[in-house]
Formats: sequence, C-alpha cells, structure tokens
Amino acid sequence: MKHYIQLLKDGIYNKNPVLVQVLALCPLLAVTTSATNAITMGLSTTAVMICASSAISLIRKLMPSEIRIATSVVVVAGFVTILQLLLEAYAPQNVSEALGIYIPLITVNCIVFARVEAFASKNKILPSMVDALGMGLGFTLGLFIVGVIREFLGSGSIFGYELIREQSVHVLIMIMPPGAFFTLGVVIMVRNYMQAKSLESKKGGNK
Amino acid sequence: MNYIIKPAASLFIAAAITVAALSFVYNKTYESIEKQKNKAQEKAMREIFMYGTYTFKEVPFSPTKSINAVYEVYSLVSDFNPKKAGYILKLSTEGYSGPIEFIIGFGIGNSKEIKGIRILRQSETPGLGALSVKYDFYGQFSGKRISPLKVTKSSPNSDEIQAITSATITSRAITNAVNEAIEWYFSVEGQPKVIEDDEWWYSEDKVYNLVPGGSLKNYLTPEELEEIDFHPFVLTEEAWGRLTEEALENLKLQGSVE
Repeated sequence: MKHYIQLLKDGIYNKNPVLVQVLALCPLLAVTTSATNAITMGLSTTAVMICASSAISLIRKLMPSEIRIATSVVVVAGFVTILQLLLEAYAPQNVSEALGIYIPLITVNCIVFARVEAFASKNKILPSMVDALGMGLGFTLGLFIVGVIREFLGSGSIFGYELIREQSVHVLIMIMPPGAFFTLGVVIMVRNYMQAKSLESKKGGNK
Repeated sequence: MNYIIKPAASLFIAAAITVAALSFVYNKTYESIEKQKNKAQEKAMREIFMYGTYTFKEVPFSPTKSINAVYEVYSLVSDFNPKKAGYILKLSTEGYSGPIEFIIGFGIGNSKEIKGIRILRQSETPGLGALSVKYDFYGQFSGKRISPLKVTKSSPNSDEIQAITSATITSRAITNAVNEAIEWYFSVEGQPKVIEDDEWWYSEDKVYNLVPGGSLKNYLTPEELEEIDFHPFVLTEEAWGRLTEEALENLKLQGSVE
C-alpha cells in the first residue's frame, strides 16, 4: 500500500511530468489557453494512460523487446481512437465538441510513451495502473496551473467566467504559444524554490 | 530466421487485435455519431430560425468552393400549404488551422435578411480563432441586410463585421464564405432593391394593420402592390401622399413618422 501511495506522490509532485520531467510540451502549448481545456485534456490523457499502461503491462512478457515501442504505438493509438469514437457517440454535445481537437494530440503525447516504456513494460499490472494514474493526475495538475494563469492574464477569465471585462488589460501574448513558455518557466521556478526550501529545512532539522 | 519472424508475427498479432477492436467500436458507434452530428446541425438550424415551426428540406445542389449543401426552409404555420420562408446553406471554408464548417440562414419575402450563422466544426487556435463559436462573433451576422459584408478591426458599420482580436484570418475566412453564400442568394432570389434613405419603408404587416379596412388596394397602384409581395415594403413619398390622414395619424402615434 505504501508503495502505491509513493507511486502516486511521485507522479503528482516529485516526478511531475510537466514541472519536473518537462515532457509533453506539445499539448501544454496547445491546450492551456483556458483552465477548462487544460483539465479536460489532462483527464482524457489520464484515461488513455491507464488503459495503455495496463494493456502493455499485460502483454509485456509476450512481446519481443525489439518491437516493444512499435507495439506501444499501435496500442496507444488504438485506445485514443476508441476513446474519441466513444466520446463522439455518447458524450454530451458540448463535451465532445470541446475535446474534439485535443484527443488526437494524446497519441503524440510523449508522457504516455514515457510511462509505458519506463514503467509498464517492466512492472505488474496494478502498479502500472497506479503509476499511470499518478502521472496522469500530475500532468493534469501541471496543465491546470499553467492554464489558470494563462487564462486569467490572457483573457481575464477563469473557467470561462469573466473577471476582467476591460479588453485593454488582457495580455494577449499569454494565450499565444510564447505565453505557455513564460508561464511554465515561472511555475517550474516556484516549484524548484519550494523543493529547495523543504530540503534545506530537512537538513537543518538533522543538524 | 527466428529473430525476424517472431517479432514480425507478434507485431502483426498486436496490430490485428487493435484493428479488430477498433472496427468493432467503430461499427457500434457509427450510427450514434451520425445521429449526434445531424442533431447538432438541426439544432443549429432551428436556433437560426428562432425555434419557429419550420421544416428543412435538402435540395439537390452540386457543391461549389464554399457551399456544400442547400436546404430550403418551409414555414408550417398553415400546415396544408407549407410556405417557403428561407434558405439554409452549409458552408465550409479554410481557416487558420483547418477547415471551418458552418451554416447560414437567409430569410425571404418580407423578412429578407441574414438570419444568422452557427459554427458546426472548427479547429482554430483556442482562445483566438476558436472564439468564433461565441455569440460575440457569430451574433454579429444576425439581422444583417443581405449585401456583401466587410471585415473591420475597429467598431463596425451596418455592413461590416468586427474581427476577433488577433484572429483576422478566421474572421475573414468566415465572412468571405458568407459573401459567397450571399452571391448565391442573389443568383436565386435576385438582388433586393437598395432602399434609399429618403424613401419611407415599412414591413408589409405593419402597413396593412395601419390602413383602415386592412387593404392597401384603395391607395396603391397594382405595381406597388406586387412589389409589397416580394420585397421589403418600399413606398415613395408620392405613394405616401395617397394614404389617408387616418393612416398617417396612426403612424405618428407609433412615432414612426415625424
């Protein structure tokens, strides 16, 4: 049990895919223009990661190592397409519309492959699922933080609720791709500072 | 040999299983997806025509650059004889990062105007071009006179559309497709008569109600009456002179005439 909690913690904070591993910058640039987009993208990626990781973990012993990556690509692409079809068919209109263009982006999302490669292909199914869940939530959290900041500065709203109507104070560059880099840089800086602080206090306690 | 065959066979099996699963899901969801798409389009059509009692009929049409399909709109108020009330055109245009699909509604007869547009599918930049699905942008088209529209960056005149900030390409693409639809409309319905500022014009119903006895026949020439049937009501000052004192008095009460 402790092992699983550690896995979740790693995914969300210690090895956060966006803020520490700095993976998956492509969806980060594309979807963090608003908090809602960021969360929906994060959660659907999490769903695909859990499916893909458990499937790869199941067949890890049957697969010759030479074609492991090729198999992962096929499996992930398959799950993404299935997810897209299901969403289009059964999800409420506004949800599938909002997600429509982001779903295919999951296929090329390197965090999915990173976890499949680094973890699921070497571990049993349950730890693989927990790892995928943790990393997925970490990814969602990273996207969410960047998304909230960019949406607030760029369009003066949060979750689509307008807070600042005055157009002239909106910082337009924040909702364009460069804004994602600026925000990500600052968020990583804050996180590193927090970590350095906590390490320092731990050291201090030992003395 | 084994080192070639075994990986190839495994990959083949993995791909085969994935394809089988995919085609299964595709077949299961195909109908619902089509239904959802049609539902979305029909909802947009009803929205444009204010949820009135209308029915839509697709008419044969060979697609042009922007126009994909044409629907005729029939009013069902008198149900034995559905009256044609307008058109809906399905358009697609090349936006900033992919095709934009949308529909436009035109009214005919005495509500000759652009009823409105609704975006069905687009993949524009979120936060910029994707704002075209918001009322702030598409609502600008509703109620516009049917004449070529221009895109402007500052505050728009009656025949101008204000571009979305930093998404001029998207705004232009949509407006250009709308202009193509307007050209099509002219080719079918004829170009409406331009109303000069010094002409008095009122909608048919309004004037019918104002004239005592409910008939304009006593006041207007046959040509003028015929025009009322097909165009927004246009009266010259000379025709106004023939209206009775009572009718003019009624107009004054409504504040329509000074």
